[in-house]
Amino acid sequence: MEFMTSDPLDPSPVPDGEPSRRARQVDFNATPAMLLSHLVKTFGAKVAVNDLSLAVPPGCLFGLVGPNGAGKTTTLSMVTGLLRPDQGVISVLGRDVWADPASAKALMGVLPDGIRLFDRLTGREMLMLTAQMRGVPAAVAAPRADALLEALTLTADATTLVADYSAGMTKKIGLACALIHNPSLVILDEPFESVDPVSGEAIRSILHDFVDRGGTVVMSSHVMELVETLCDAVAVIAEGRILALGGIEQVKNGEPLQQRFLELVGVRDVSLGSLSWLGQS
Amino acid sequence: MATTGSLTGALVRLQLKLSWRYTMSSVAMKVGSLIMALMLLGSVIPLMWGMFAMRGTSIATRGEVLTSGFALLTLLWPIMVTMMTGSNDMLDAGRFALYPVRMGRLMPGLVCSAAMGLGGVMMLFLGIGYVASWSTSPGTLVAAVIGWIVGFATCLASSRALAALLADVLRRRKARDLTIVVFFLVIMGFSIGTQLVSRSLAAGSITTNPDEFFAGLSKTASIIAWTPFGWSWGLPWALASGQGFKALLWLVLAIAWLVLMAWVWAHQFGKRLTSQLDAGGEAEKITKANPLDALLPATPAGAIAKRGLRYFRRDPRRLISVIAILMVPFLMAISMSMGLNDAPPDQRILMMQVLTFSPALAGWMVAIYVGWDISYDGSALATQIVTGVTGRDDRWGRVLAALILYAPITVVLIIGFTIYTRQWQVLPSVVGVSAALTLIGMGIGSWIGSIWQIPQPPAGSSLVGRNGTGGAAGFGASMIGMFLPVIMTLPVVALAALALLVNPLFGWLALVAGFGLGALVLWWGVRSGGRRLDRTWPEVLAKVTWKG
Repeated sequence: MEFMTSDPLDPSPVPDGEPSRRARQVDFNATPAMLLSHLVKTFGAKVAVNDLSLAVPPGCLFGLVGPNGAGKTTTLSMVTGLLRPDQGVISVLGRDVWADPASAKALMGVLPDGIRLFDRLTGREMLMLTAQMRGVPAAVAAPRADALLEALTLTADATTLVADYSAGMTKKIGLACALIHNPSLVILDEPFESVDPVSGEAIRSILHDFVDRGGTVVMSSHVMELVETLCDAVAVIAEGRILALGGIEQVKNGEPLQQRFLELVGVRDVSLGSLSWLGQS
Repeated sequence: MATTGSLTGALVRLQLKLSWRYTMSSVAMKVGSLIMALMLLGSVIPLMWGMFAMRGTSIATRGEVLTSGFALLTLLWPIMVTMMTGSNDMLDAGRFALYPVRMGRLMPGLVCSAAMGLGGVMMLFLGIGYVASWSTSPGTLVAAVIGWIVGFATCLASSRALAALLADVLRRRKARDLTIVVFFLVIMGFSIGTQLVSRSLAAGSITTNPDEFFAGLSKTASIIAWTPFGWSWGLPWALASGQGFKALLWLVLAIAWLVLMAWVWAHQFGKRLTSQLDAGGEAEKITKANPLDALLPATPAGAIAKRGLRYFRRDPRRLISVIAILMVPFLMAISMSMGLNDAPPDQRILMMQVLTFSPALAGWMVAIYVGWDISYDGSALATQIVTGVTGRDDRWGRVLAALILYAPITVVLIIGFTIYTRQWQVLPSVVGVSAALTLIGMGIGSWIGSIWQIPQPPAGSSLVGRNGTGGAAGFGASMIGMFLPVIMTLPVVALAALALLVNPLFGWLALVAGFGLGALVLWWGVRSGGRRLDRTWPEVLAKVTWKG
């Protein structure tokens, strides 16, 4: 039901058998919200990101998908100023992230993956201090913090230390921190990991509302079903390169995204012959 | 299905492989382990030699010395082992919960693995010395071998029992944090205690007369032999003294104690094999506002300072540093006031005046702390970097937090020490030197902390050890961080010396110079350290991220 209400102005009927939400029309010719050109990052002999160029149009929910080790987190870390690229230029809404980091970071909200948080703060303290670091006045931040905690069902745990949160709750408080200053572009690395279905639904509707009001979301995931029902456009990356890019229907090309993804990435035929003993008594 | 024997072998091999890999994991670990092994050998070999030599001494001397010595070792053993392994315990029952093995089959392997390692080797050598010392007659020889076997087994079983009991508690974060702080206090207590005792010995307030010493030891030993830690080690002593009944009683008690320890371990272990996960109790709620927040500006630097103030209390690593810093002036005062009694009267006043300067040392330590603070953030620093906070705000925020916590404490310490020494005429100099050392140190620390960082294990990950070491770079940085502030404070110290020796008016100059110079260096350190951070955030993040 959430998908219908999130795009109430879309008059086109929803075809049977399709996900119940129609993707927003994405204008790839508009001035991009996030522009990566010829990005390169190597770690020793391993090329993590290999001459990657990508333009994310404004006002859309953009999915970055790829297998483990494809370079998703490396790419997003370079966009958010956490990892210095070897080569290439990144700009966010016209600001060069590495030439003018302060103004680029001010426009972005970021949920990094695989890092610790300042977890000896309570959930509410973490939100309020993030707001203060972002220069949001306390009078503005306090009602926003309450609203975010409420929407993400964290109100009851607002005064608990984040160190005592579950993995899903930690993800949610990280997401709230990414939104507290009302950014124009939100970068989320695996935002749905370990999040329960109820909270997942809340996050979906928050993201849809945000994009409907003109914001842009770039999120990474390796769950194809999720990206298929949530995102308007998608880039498939593997081994640090882009294999496909476009509107979600365009990339799917009439197939389920999972199927299309396996074709693009080049799935290895798993012969189960040697595992035939499994399950035999 | 593997037999008990092959399971035991597998566990022992696993233990050896993991220890070896850990020892060889880095240059610092190799050097550290080598030094530790040499130190152990260096203490064990003379002890062995001493025990061989004791063959010729009287039964009473041997009984008293060996029984109390080994009883102390048996008491300390479980505490040391628990501290060394911490929550990183390979023999923790939880690790075996998923495998289809019963406790009875695991235990022999676990006992053998527990006996491996430096402690086990040390106990083997010491045991040889102990047995040799009692090898004067066949009866005492046999009693010594039995005493050693039961005693060593008691060490192993009691360390496992303590670890198993603690494991239940240590699954709760709050308890883990508390244990780390308590262990630290115990270590501090030990080191201060030994310092006091050795100084008292030197000063003659504790007897150094051998006869009195042995009289005291004899009394202590006869009490210790009747404790659970002494029962087994006293066996040959009782037998050699012709008290066969006492020896039998001690043997029965020692075995009963061993069985009890083994039972506690087995019971806890069995429980943990089947109930691995729990929620760890009700999480604590923090609803009270921090009154110190009102002192801080509503700026990004203020936010970092607020976080810093909370972390002083909630992060056990930082809490330990707070306690350690507060103890420094007192340690200095204790060691100085011990020399006071012997000093001639004219020197006493000078010593009292120097003693009044002790609180300045706390400021020096605070400054060193500020330099390393960013290393304790770990990868959480990423959440600060993405907000676009400037390096200058970061530096200033950390300095503010340390100042708000320590400045009032330093003031109280200065007043307290001056009241104690009654040297009011040096007060301006003391304030000046303290301010200079604190502010200059914070400035240098802010600058150095932006250049060098050393990854630290996250809060609550292990009780002791496994601290990050930065190799040569880290050593160099800590040397500069320690001594550059002292060198730069020298002009103020010179004014303070003139105030002591020439004219007290120089003290007021020291006061002004201390604050002036301190403020200048602090401003410079925050500015240049901040600029450096702005250029190097990604590299700093990579350096503080713990890959343990």
